[in-house]
Amino acid sequence: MASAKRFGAFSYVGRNVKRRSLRSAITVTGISVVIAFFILFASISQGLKDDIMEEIERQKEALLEQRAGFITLMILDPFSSNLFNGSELEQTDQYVKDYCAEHNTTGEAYPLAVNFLKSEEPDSDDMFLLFGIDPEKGVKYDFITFNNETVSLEGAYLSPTGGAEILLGNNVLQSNYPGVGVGDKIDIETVSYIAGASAILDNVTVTGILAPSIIYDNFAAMPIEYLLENTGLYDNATNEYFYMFISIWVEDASLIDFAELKAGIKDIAGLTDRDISDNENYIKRTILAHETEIAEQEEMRRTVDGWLLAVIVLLSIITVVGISNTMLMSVTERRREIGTLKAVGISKARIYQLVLGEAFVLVLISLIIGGITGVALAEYFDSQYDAEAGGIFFAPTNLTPFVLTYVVCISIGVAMLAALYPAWQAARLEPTEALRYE
Amino acid sequence: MSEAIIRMKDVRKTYRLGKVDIHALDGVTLEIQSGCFTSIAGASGAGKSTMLHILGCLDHATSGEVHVNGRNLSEMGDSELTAFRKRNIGFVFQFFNLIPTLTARENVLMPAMFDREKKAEKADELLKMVGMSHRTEHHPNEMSGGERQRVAIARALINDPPMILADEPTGNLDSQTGKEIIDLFRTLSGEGKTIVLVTHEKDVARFADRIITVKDGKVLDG
Ligand SMILES: Nc1ncnc2c1ncn2[C@@H]1O[C@H](COP(=O)(O)OP(=O)(O)O)[C@@H](O)[C@H]1O
Ligand SMILES: [Mg+2]
Repeated sequence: MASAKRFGAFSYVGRNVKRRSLRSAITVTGISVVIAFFILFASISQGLKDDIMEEIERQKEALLEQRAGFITLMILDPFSSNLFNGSELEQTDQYVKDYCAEHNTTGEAYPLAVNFLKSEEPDSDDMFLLFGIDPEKGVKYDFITFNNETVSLEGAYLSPTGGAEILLGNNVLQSNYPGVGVGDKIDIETVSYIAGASAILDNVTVTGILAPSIIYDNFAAMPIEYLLENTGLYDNATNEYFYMFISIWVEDASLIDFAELKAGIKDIAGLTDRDISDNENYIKRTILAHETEIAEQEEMRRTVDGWLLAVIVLLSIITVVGISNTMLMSVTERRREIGTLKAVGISKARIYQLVLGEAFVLVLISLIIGGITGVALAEYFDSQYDAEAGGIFFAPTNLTPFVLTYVVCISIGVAMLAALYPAWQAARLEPTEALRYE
Repeated sequence: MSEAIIRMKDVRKTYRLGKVDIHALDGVTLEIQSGCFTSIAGASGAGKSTMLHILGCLDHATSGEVHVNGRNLSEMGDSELTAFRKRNIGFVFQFFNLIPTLTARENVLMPAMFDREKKAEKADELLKMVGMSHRTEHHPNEMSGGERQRVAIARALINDPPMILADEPTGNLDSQTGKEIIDLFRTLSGEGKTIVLVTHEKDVARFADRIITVKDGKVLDG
């Protein structure tokens, strides 16, 4: 029976918890419930915050995407006879490159011709879009990047040197050229943007058929210089091509000043009488939408934190009341005993340790019981939560080690604080007071 | 003649109850020799317990000088007094003051519960010495009053103090049992412990080597 002979402060504390076992059980039950709810709320708030953080990340990514590559300037004046010529395009391209480099981003000008393909159906007025693009650079316009790297198709992309070649969208192929395949030659009728002039282009090779997509189904593309030459936009005398559209694409629009860039282009190109449109307002709106969304999500996160704090405060108050009440009773009914301890030479600091130790044992048992219950509750809430339906009662939970750690630390900390007053009461007991028999 | 282990010089203890001053001790001067079995006798309310508390370092005197085992008590702070008590003084109380949740052995070990040194063997020896070796695993409510007081005496000895102070240790016992407890104190005195025993019963006081009689806070003779 060697072990039964051992007796120290730990055994004494344990004996005191057991002495009033019903009272201890009630206290432990109460604090277990508190801890279980604490774990549940903490893990719910973590789960909600995870969702919010995910959404914020998504919005931030979208915001970055919006900033990158979303800028398009179109120089658009369909009724003018004074179109951009090739050297103006080059100047503009150089100006945009320099301007963007100065503003820590990159940008480029793309030549673009917008024509139409006439429908082959006898009575139809339908027209399909026919783009003339630089086969080497492709084109970047708004959210569309069309070049030999981004486009998926059957067959081959336009050859770099250009020529009588065409890429056909699915709808265009089926309505206008049924039975035609990659490598076949077709005759096409184009309608120019300028005054509706039409032209017939014979023996155009179908190099590729664009994979079905909403964007490209009613769309065809051919090398811009071939298209310009054959629609009367090439000057044999000066050897110049004439362009209607130049799309300007900037990597990060937030770094540049639209008005400044447009003014610069007008100066360089000497096109002061031209209208230059851009999508600055649209960009600003979408960026603003994302920023608003992010702000809202962050507000929500603060709200969740606020609720969690309120719950922690409420649960802490319950714990404080439970622990301090129990410990005060324990100390008060043991006045004589504590006085005896002091009389036989147990110091104040040791009395503190004994009382705090008793509260510690209570909260430790509660942590085990409440911990298991809380983890089970959190798991259950998570399993019942349906993200699609959006739970009214249940919620996503995330029980991270961090959450568990702070639940444990706060519970123990609050319990110790609550036991401090009863411990002080015990420590200040005069041994003579406690030994009085009257 | 051995040297004085306790010296009190013009010690006063005044309690203030509302507007009235109660002079529980009213100028007490005395010396108690080391190893002496002394009893403090006197009627109820004479100031015996107050005196014992002061020389047992449980309470400060209002004025006067108290030396115990060579130390001036008025120079010591609260925590110093606590540590001093532990090393120098064992207490025995009228109502035994055992802890109900602890066994006899554990009660004996209680004053040493924070000590690194394990004293279980010593506790068993002490219980044997007070004739309680058959009760080591029993709780106080399973013991008679005399048995409880024996356990309490063993507890007072666990830290091996030179002095044992007892306040009415027989007050709750029948005279036969009381006699046995006094015999136990005699034995301890024979082993060199200084015993100070407070009692209002003349029958009990007369077993001591020396009787100090107290009345109205003053020492009458002794
Ligand atoms: N804490 C106290 N407050 C007020 N009066 C006290 C206190 N302790 C003791 N007394 C008074 O001091 C006197 C001596 O008490 P005490 O030493 O207990 O006497 P005894 O032990 O001889 O019966 C009594 O009149 C008692 O009422
Ligand atoms: Mg008394």
